[in-house]
Amino acid sequence: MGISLVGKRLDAGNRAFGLALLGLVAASVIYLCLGAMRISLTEVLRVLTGGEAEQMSWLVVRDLRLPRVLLAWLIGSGLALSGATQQAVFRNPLADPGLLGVTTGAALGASVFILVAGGTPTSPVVGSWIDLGLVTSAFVGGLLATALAWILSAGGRSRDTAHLLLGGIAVNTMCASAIGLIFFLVDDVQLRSITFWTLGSIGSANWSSLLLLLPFSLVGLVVLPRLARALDLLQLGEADASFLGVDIRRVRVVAIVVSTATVAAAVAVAGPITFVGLVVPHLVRLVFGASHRIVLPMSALVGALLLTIADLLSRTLVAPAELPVGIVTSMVGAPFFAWLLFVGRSRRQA
Amino acid sequence: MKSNLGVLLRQWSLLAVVGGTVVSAEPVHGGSDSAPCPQRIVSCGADLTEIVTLLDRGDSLVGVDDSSQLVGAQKELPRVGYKRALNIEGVLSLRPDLVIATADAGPPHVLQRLNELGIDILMLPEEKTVPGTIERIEKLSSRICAVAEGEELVKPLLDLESPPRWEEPPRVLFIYARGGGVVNVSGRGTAADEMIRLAGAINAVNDYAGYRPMTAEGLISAQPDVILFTDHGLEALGGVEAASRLPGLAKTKAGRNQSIVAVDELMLLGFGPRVDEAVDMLVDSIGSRLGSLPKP
Repeated sequence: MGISLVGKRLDAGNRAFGLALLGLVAASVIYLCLGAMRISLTEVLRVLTGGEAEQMSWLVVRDLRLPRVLLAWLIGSGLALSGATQQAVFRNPLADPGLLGVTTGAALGASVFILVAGGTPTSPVVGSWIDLGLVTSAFVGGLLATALAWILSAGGRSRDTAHLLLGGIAVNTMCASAIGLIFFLVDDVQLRSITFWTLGSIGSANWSSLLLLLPFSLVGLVVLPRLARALDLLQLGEADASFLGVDIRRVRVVAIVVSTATVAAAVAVAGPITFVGLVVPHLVRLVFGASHRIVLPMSALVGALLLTIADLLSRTLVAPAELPVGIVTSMVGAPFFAWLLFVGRSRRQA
Repeated sequence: MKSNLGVLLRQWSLLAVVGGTVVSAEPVHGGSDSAPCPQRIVSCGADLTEIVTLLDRGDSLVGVDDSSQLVGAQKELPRVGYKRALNIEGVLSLRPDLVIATADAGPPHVLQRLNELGIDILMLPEEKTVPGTIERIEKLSSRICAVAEGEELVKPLLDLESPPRWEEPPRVLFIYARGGGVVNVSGRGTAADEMIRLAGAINAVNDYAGYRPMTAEGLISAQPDVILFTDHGLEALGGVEAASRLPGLAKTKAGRNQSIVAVDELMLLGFGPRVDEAVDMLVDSIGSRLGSLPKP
């Protein structure tokens, strides 16, 4: 009976996965059609299929919108998948990818670069050396911060993850105060650059930033879902999981290293984008239950979908200007999440 | 999927190469005799928008940045956002033939890309000084075919290099309150410092460059005769009454006499084409607080 229940869950999971995939494709097609430039659907299709099209629409669709929507996929899925993994590893529903300092560390790396380089770049993108410097600096900052949290907690040697969490808190505080010090040192223009970076944007996407992020995202998308069974068992408690044959230390190391690298790369390219990593896994669990065989792939898919919709709104709501996408993700996601919580509550009460 | 991406990348790089060679054959920056007069201008900077309008070419503007709304008159124009966070498609959609910007606009790769797409980019110096303003007017007027109007506009600015002479030059301290509890005092080398000099006054704080957070001791030791604010800054602090209660201020001459002056931020710090009027206004406001005016 237990088996058939799980089987039903997985069947429902497959259907939902197909539905969400369809949603992502639909949202992406709308994404490619709408924007500050008015381009008709038929023209967009001609561009995508390599037909005859005006040079300007060719350029806007293939060179600006397409790499950008793909970047939204990679970043959205990477953040949500890493968030789901870390919530499972720490058995803490409030865990998000920034817990071990990767986001604050990346922000510190970016701030240091802006302080040293003089504040010319405003959004992290690859294309000229100065932006590549910003991306690298943020990426390294994120990795170093998490490594420091790991070392502070005695290499995660203790069976308990509490030490690691405390290490993360210590590192987050240190990085935040260092950023505060940089605020004091920089001039007005640099200050605005840093502030703008912290709002998060994928507005500067191009094919090279996409290619730069791709390997990190692929590793995350391939490796993390494989931890599903171990993470399920881990929810029984670390001792029980260990009796059932889970190599806890290995799972913990793989989960943390891979999710940190995925998030560090995403934050380095786009700046911190809030909400996706923390709330998307909860959203998925509310609808599909807690089995990580469903939660992990669904989180990746829903994360990509949410960021695609959010960025579509960020590009179109105030065109020809743009809203920072980090603001839109929570604007779109928070009411939906609240509604799900409310519906779930009344259903439990009924 | 993978091969698709490969094809895309090849086509894209081909386009970049073709685009690059076409552009490099043409002058990148305006000002050459052969460049046609622009008909559709996007302006990324309030002072630049003001210059274009005063040069009587406001009709050619098709888009402005967010800061330009402060200049007024351009309210109905499409806005391309914050000038340091421009996006390619937004600017492209206005189909401009000239984008004017100062060096602080960007991101750099967006401007570079627009240029590769055949849109003329005119980069202007951003120095917040009178010579900087004059250079902006001259370069801009020659590019948008308004040389005669430009010469008219520059004339009153040429007299500014001889500041008015006060009997006893007042010591002025500029407080920049940006809201959110950030209250800074201007040292050397800022736009405010330059304006104080142009008004014939003395910046009461000259032992550091740029802005530093305000302290009570710093206020007292600077011994200012007048405290200068931007109007938004004074508002943020809660008006003249609240400002005169700032720690340490009561121990200074400026605080005892309530010599507090507030000037429009864009006028005071913008170094736009009407900087001469801004200086006159500053001199008048300081003079009326102190009850004496400089010799003409």
